[in-house]
Amino acid sequence: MTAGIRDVNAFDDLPPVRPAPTLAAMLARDPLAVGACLWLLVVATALLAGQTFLADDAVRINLVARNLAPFQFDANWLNWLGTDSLGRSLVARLSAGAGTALAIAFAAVGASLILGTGLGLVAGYFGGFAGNLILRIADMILGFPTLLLALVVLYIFGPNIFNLIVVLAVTRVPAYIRVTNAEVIEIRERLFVDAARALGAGHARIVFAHILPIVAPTLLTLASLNLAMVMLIEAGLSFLGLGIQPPSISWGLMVAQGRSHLAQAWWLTCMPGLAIMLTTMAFNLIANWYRIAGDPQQRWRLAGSEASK
Amino acid sequence: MAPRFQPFGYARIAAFAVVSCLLSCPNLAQAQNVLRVVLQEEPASLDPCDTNHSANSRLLRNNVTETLVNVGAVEAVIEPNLAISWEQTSPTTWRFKLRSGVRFHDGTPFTAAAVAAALQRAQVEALACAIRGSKLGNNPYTTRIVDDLTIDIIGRDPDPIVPFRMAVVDIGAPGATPADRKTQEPVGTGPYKFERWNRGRDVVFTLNDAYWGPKAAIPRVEFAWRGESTVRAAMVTRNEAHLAFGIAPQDATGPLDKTYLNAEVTFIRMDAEIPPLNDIRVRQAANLAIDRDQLIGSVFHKSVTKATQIVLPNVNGASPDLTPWRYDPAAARALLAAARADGVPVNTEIVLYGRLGLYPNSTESLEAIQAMLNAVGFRVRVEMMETSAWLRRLLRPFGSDRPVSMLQSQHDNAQGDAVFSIGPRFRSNGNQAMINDPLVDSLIDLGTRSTGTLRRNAFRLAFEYMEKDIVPYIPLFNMVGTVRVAANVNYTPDVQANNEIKLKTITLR
Amino acid sequence: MSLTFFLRRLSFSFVALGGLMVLVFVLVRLTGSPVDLFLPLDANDAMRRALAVRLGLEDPIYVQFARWLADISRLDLGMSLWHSRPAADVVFQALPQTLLLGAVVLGLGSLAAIVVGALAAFRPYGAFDRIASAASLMGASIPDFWIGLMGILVFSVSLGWLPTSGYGSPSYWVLPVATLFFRPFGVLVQIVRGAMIAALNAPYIRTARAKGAANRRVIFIHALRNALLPMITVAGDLAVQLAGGVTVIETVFGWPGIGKLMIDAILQRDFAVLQAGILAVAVVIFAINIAIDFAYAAIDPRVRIDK
Repeated sequence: MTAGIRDVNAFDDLPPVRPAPTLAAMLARDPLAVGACLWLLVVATALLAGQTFLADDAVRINLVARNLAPFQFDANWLNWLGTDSLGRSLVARLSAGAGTALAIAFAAVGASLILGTGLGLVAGYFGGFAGNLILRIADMILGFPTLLLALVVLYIFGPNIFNLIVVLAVTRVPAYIRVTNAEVIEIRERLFVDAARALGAGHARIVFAHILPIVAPTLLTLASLNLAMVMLIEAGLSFLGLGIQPPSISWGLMVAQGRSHLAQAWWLTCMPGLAIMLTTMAFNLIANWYRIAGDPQQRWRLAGSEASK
Repeated sequence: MAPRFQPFGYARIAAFAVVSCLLSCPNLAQAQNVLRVVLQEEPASLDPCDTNHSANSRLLRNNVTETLVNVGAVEAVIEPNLAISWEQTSPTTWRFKLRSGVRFHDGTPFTAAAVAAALQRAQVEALACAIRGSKLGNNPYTTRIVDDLTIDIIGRDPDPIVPFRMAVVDIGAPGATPADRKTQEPVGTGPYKFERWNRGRDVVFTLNDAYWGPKAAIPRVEFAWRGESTVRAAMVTRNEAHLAFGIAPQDATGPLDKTYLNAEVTFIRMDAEIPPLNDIRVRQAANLAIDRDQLIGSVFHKSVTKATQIVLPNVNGASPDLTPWRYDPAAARALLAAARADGVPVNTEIVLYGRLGLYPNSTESLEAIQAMLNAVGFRVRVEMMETSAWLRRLLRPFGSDRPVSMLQSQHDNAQGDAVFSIGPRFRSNGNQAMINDPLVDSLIDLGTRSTGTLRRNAFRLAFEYMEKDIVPYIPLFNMVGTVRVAANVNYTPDVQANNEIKLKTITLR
Repeated sequence: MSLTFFLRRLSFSFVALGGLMVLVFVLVRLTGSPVDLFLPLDANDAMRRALAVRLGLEDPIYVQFARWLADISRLDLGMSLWHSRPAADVVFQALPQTLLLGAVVLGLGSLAAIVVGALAAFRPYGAFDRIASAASLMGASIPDFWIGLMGILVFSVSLGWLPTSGYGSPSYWVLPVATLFFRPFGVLVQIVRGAMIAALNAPYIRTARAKGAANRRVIFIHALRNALLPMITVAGDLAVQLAGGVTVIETVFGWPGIGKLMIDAILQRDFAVLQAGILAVAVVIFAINIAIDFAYAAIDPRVRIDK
């Protein structure tokens, strides 16, 4: 029972007490997180522009200016990132696509995170028949190919963004159920849970006050990774002809469309691919930073000059 | 348990794996006796009666299994193949004289009985043969064996174009082609013998030494397939393949890329039953709004030509006199304004249904066309869909509460006679027709019944009347295909290359 | 981890499998009929109806399902309409290539992730950690078909080191494996790193480390064992995704696997192949999940899965 003892002794071993630094100060200590925030600011600006004054440029076709190479700074600034195979400005299209890409990623990951965590907590904490049922439903969803689900939903209800979100959310739910369940099974056996139970805490209190905080960091890391995964699955579905289709604009769709011009115009896939990569990396870096900043035992890493220890 | 923690142990293993892979790279030097062909997709079936699907027929037709006659690639005339002559002996009966001295790959002689068996088999309900569909029509054919090398083919109804239909019936060896189930090991009379089909990987043919005609030059042919044009093109560049079909326009830039007119015609069907497209001025405006010159060489290959009707002009019954629509946005705007003035709701949103991957850059072409239409005052929204959903919009029943729409389509008349195109698309009961015009119907019926000049002229009149006075379509382009041919291979693709890869015409330098 | 537990787990899985197949059976039939796709455009109505009747699609759905069950009890998964041969043959010819590819990718990915993730966790926010985290994240955020196509253009066309595509000797495996490697690797590095940091940060280990513990390796191994739990869960999730077919990669590289087969069956509405394929893949997935549950128990004796 060494594992139990380590929890009881948890408070013997705190690092030297210092005044808690402010969030801004802690952010400044992590240059990568600062960079991530700056990038997200850029994305947010582009997103707003894409919904407003760049919206028309994103669909303006100019067959004379097809596949213009990027970084020609003497040209119209809209073409600084190049143009696509129909001569449309990549600056405008990336901005217009940001809204769709982020809306899909956030909605799908958020929905699956909440639903999956909830079900996983129930399954792991209570176990028994209900737990088994939830886990086997998760198995069923896992066994159901994403592609087929996408086809069924998009064929019957139409290939629009909301339906795509439903498909992506449903297919990601089992991952959260299984991870939460696995962690909870382990945690519920720890001594402090028994202690809380002995002190008369109700199930809800034990789950939300004692178990969820321990599970949350892993789930958030998984969620930030799933943001990338969802954007990539979206691209893959468009590649196979089952995702959202033009005239919708989305980063994933842009990557998929640009691939047929890969040998002539690398920027058609690289620019939106880069946008996906940087954005998901930014979320992940901020998630990691917050995980440290929010943890009293690890905050010291961001607190002083010895942070590089 | 105390496994030793050796991070670099794994690195060593990985490095070793990579190096050993590199050392065992296949020797890519060209074997002079093998031709490697890479296609867009794997055939689904190699049964001689499934050759209606081009993915199947381009391997089999006239390579492994042969037909009684062929349709010429340049002129739509019937040429002898396994039959040496034919004549119509009564309105319902055609007599074919067969080539003598022909043997199947299993050694059995080719006779009238084999033809009878193949035609009968192709019509067996339970086999669901793909060629049964349009090619044999709903006219059941029976046979009468006159002697070993003479056969009568008898339709229930009079049929003036039986030879055209026989050009799609591949004849397999009766002994090796079970009558009651499909075979995946075809045995025919062709210049190549089927050797093996390694599912998911390749199909291999070998030379038939006992071929009745001039023997083919290459002893062995291997077919493979890849989904991406970029990859297919790269395989020829890398000497992994000699022929790569279906190269996208943007990849078709090198000296090895050969372009051929591929018999496909692309067009957009307009729903002439629903406002505003039920007004001919609106349909004319749509045609005038398309700047076809700008699409050529950008979204479409630079060698495509502007289409004048839904078949190539050399098809029997097509009109050689029609001219392509000009680009005149001012006239288009004027026509729309005139229609609007008469109360036609030209501002109604029109859905433009497209099919993903119908041809290279399919989606982009519709986005460009949408922009062109909207520039003159239409309100068009593109909706791209997969094949099954697209077919639901293409085929009857269309549904009574449907939105007004245009639909991207493409048609390939490989049989060479207009009847295969015109009935389903223009006759009022055609399964893809959205027009209802008694004059068109009677011209089509007249042409279908007749032969020779009368047939040609009836169809031709129908095409001309439709393009000028009904305008049911926006004709776009006579399409081209591109095949990348390795420098050491002599191959000239022709208009039938989408359905037949004529291996016996290919030589190695 | 008794036999009763195993049997109960198995029977639950069996019921779930049945539920899945009912769902699949009904849903695929909601996506339209294969008749229009299979027959030429110009086929007439009589012909379309005849084919629908022959395929049994005109019967009520429960009749169709009963027939399918009866066939399955005779180990007959039906005939593929497009392939003109038994669907089971079609599926079992494709499945091994996908499973093999998935196993190689996941094996390499897990090994690399354990090494890199553990090293990164040893000095959190050190130089190696930052580089490894950024690189693995980057790898996990690139669309796989893009990596695949670029790999072909660079390593086959430009450098001439590797064959472009196809299935065969080890050199044919390099590009597909490398293409698929990044995502599992990136995800697993993050998981291993996170779990290791948490484990190494546990008070008693920190105390031990502060006192200059005699055997750092023992500590490390202990932390690694704790990190294995979440890693196995996530690796299981990845394995399930790989087993379902790496459709995009199979399409690009012409890999004769089940993913390409399934997307074609979906687009062509080849119901027999679709049902047989999903059944086969689901069995594999259920087996993977059961194996994961047992792996938990083996690694962490405190986990009482048979509760």
